[in-house]
Amino acid sequence: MASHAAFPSAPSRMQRLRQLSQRHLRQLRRTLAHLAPRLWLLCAVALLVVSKADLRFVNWLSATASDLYVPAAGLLYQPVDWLRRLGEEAAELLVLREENARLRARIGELERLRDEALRLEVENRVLRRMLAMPSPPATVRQTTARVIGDSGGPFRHARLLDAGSERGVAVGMAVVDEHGMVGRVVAVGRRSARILLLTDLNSRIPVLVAPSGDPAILEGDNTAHPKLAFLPLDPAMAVGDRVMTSGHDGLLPPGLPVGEIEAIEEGRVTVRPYADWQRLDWVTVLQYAPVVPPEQEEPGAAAGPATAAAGQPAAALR
Amino acid sequence: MMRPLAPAAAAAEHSPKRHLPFVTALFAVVVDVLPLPSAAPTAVAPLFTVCVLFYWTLFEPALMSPLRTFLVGLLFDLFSGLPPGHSATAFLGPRLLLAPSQPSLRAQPFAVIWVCFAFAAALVELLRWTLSVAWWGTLFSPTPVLDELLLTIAVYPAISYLLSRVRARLPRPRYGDRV
Repeated sequence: MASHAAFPSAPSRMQRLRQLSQRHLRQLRRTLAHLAPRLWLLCAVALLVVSKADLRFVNWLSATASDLYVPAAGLLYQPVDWLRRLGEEAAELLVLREENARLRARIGELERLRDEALRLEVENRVLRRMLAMPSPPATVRQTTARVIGDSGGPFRHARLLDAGSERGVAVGMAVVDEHGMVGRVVAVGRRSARILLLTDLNSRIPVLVAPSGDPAILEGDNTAHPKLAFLPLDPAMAVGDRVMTSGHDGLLPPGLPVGEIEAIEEGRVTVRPYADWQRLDWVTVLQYAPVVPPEQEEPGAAAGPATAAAGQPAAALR
Repeated sequence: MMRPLAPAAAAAEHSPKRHLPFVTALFAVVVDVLPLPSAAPTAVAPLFTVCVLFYWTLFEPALMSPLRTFLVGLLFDLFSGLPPGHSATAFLGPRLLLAPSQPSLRAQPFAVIWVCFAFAAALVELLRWTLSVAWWGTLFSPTPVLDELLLTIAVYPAISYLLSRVRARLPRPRYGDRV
């Protein structure tokens, strides 16, 4: 017994198994650590492929992340905003005298236009009443939002707003600044919304050219000057003509100023948007009630507007 | 068999400061997504996130693991509205290529590191451009991408200096040091 205790006892079967499993576990960890970059790269590629399917989960993830970004951006935005304002004020001071003279001339011009607009409004109202023509649907509400995020690269022209579904913003709504249309809402979170600018590659806006009335589609191409596509066969447009939304998609309000024709070269018509990209820190989301196609209307709800719409001319004829 | 950690090393491993590299990368993502003072749609800005990821991957690879790089890329995509996985792929690809040369690169003078960064940033931009072309099916103009690349390369020395100050505050002995 004594001689037996002098030597360390041989490891039991259980201990040997434990040592073996620990060794395997360490090997597995080393292998995983070695493969980690490849595995995560594979995950990233898989995620990219999956997100192409436009899954609801991916959209939810994106909206939730945007909501989380809002408070962080709100804090960091202050110094950026302060720097921008400082630069703007310094630049304005340098050109104050010329700006003042230009604005005085502009006021005179606008006063003339206002008188003309009032006269046309009265005339329009009288003519509509005579023809029993329904009034164009008005914008229901407007929400002012701050631009807090950029797309962060040359591949996507989008902005992030600090207003979401909690403030009534929904996908498809038009976004304008004080000069004209900026873009439209493409994704909405609770406290944030992403807008696609007119200049983005994926932006398509149905427009009309004034005064000719030619319809077209304003296509973004990731440059500062989107182009007009799907023009009529004999377009009668010229450089300087105004471009405005037509409302033909039933989603955007008609008559929103978009820009003016900048150049017509070899069948390519480019537009200079009115939006002031340099001061795009506050924008307005137009909560426009879109026109619901008859096939998407509920059976009960369809009867009302259809009857009313049909009834109006009939009443006028009587 | 892996030796146990010394008490100082164990304390360093549990220090909250070892998350500083990840926090600086998240900060860079938020700054990258902030609107520029000149918010013109075609305006370009440097990609601070690429600078930060390169620096930490080179000097503290244990603190900027592939998982963390993946998360930074994913957050960049989600915040900026790019398809999820777009930037994560672009950030992880060059890491995989440059990994074998990391230990020798650390000891090189700054100019050599800067040149290597330019190479890595060019790879990131090339991957982003290729993925964008494949995703949207359109040939994007390379000019804004090149502008972005040049700006990113230009700001790297400043970012590197700032991060070296952060690195000096990391707990010693370094994470990963063993007795």
